[in-house]
Amino acid sequence: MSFQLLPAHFVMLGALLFGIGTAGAIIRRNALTLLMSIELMLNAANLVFIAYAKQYGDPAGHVIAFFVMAIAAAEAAVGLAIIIGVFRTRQTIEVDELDALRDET
Amino acid sequence: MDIAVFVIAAAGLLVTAGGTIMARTPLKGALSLIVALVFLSVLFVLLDASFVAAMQVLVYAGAILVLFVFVIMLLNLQPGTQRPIYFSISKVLGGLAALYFSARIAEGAFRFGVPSGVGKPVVATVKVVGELMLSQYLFAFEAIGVLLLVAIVGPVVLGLKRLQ
Repeated sequence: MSFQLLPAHFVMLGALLFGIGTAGAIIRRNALTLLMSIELMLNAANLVFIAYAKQYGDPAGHVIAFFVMAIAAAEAAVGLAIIIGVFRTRQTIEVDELDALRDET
Repeated sequence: MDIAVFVIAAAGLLVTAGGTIMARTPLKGALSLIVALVFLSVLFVLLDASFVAAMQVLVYAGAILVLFVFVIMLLNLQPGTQRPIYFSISKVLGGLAALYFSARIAEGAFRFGVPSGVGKPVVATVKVVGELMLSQYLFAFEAIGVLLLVAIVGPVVLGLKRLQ
């Protein structure tokens, strides 16, 4: 058996997943898709936490993963409420059409 | 056996994550993200984190993503109001920057953080994780409780009718 499954492979996968989330947050202009990209990034961090927990045999990483999940839940609740509020007043959720604070000059 | 499961789950995770950010409508993106989170929980099981994997499916895929789907249905976006995906130079550059960013994260992890080795078995039952959460991480636990309280009150205030 020449190939063995190491925690390092999971860290690499986590970096890739974080990159996908970052790309989504950069190239998409839909507020809901933006929030989902942020969820992807939080999950990539979770994966790396769990991989390091395996690397060092320490369950503390699992505790942190739960805290990340709680923060993701709070972020989703507040973010979605803001999106609904914006949609009620502006009838759009495309973030580049929300330019009330843009300098007119 | 483990390697086959890892390859399948990792490939599925990357494909569905890409589908999440490239989906034409937010609803398809949300459904793709649910599948991605289930694949991620498979990876958690491979890393001796079965409790976190169960919570991932219950809390993330079961609660948070259902909240997303509820909001998408509530907004009822018409097809005409959604602009198609368009490509511009800044978006291509942004995507390349994101890929470079993730490559640098991986490089930094390998240079500083990840020693070689197959890792050690982790005993992470509900008992172990709960004891750790309520002893060493008690302050963080309480702070998360306050944060969740704010996250309950905040949407209620935002949802009140006097937004104008």
